[in-house]
Amino acid sequence: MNNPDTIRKATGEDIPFLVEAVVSAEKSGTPRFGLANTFGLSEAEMRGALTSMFKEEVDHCEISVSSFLIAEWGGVPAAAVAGWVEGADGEVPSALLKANLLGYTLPGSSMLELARRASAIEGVRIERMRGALQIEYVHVDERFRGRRLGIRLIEAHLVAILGSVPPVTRAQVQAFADNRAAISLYEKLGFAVVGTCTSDHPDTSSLLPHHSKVLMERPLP
Amino acid sequence: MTMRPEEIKDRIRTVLTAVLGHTNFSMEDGMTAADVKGWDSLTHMQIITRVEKEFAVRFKLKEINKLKNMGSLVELITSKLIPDQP
Repeated sequence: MNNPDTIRKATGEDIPFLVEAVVSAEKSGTPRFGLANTFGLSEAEMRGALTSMFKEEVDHCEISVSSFLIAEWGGVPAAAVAGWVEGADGEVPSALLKANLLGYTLPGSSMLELARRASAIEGVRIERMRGALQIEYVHVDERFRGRRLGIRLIEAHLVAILGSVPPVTRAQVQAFADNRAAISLYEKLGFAVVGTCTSDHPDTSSLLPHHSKVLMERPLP
Repeated sequence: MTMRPEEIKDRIRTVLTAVLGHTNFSMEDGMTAADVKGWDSLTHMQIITRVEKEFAVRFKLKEINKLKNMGSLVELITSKLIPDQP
C-alpha cells in the first residue's frame, strides 16, 4: 500500500505544519533560511511571523492557507504543497500580497535590514506569469519520504484547476539550481527548465541556499 | 488634519524617489507598481513602510491588499487623515 490516507485542502489547524513546509522548502536542504536572513531575523522569529501571516487568511499567494493541499499518512500531515493561479483575484500580483504580509507582520527594523540586503537577493527573483498555476513550497516530512507524496500533491493541484474559467494553460515552479532532487521530480511531472536567473552578488550565497534559480514550466491540457 | 491630493502625491513622490533612486514616474492616478522601474516586492515593503511613516498613519493589511494604483493609495491616505467624528 503506497497511498496517502487522504489528500485535502489545508485548514487553520495545519498552520504549524505549513510553517514547517515553508522553512524546509526555503532552506532547500541547506542551513540557510533565506526568508529569515533577508530580514535579519532568527529562524524562531521568522517561524513566529509565518504563523501570524498564515492566520491573516490572505488568499492567492504562497503564505496562504487556502493555497495548500495536504497529504495525510497514518492520520497525520505528511506532505504539503502550495498552488494558486497567479493574479486570480484581481490585479494584485502574489509577490505584492506576500510583501504586504511581510511588511505588515515584521518589525520596522526588518525593513531596514531588507534595504541593506536587497541587492543580494534581487538577482534570484523570478517574476510569476499572470494566469499560470504556481507550484511552491513542496515539502514532504522526512519520515514519509520515498512515497511519492510530493508528486501526488502536485498532480492534485494540476487536476484541481482543470476546467477553470478562464482556462489555465500553463503551470510554473521554481527551484534553486543545485536542487537536483526537486528538479528531477518536476521533470517527471512534465516540467522543463525555461529560464535561469543568477546573482553575482558576493553575499547571495551566504543568505540563500544557492545563488541561482531555475524557472520550470509545463503546458496544461 | 486634511491634505490636498496634490500635496499627498508630492510627499509620496519623495518617498518613491528615496527608495527607488530615480524620478522616472508620472504619479498619475492610474499608475501601478508594474509601471515603475524598480517597484518590485522588495522595494514595495520599504515604500509602504515609509509612506506610513511620512503620513504618520498605519494601514490595515486588507487596505493595502486592495490597492490598485496610485489613485487608490492617495484615497486611502486621505481617508486616514480625516479626523474621527466626535
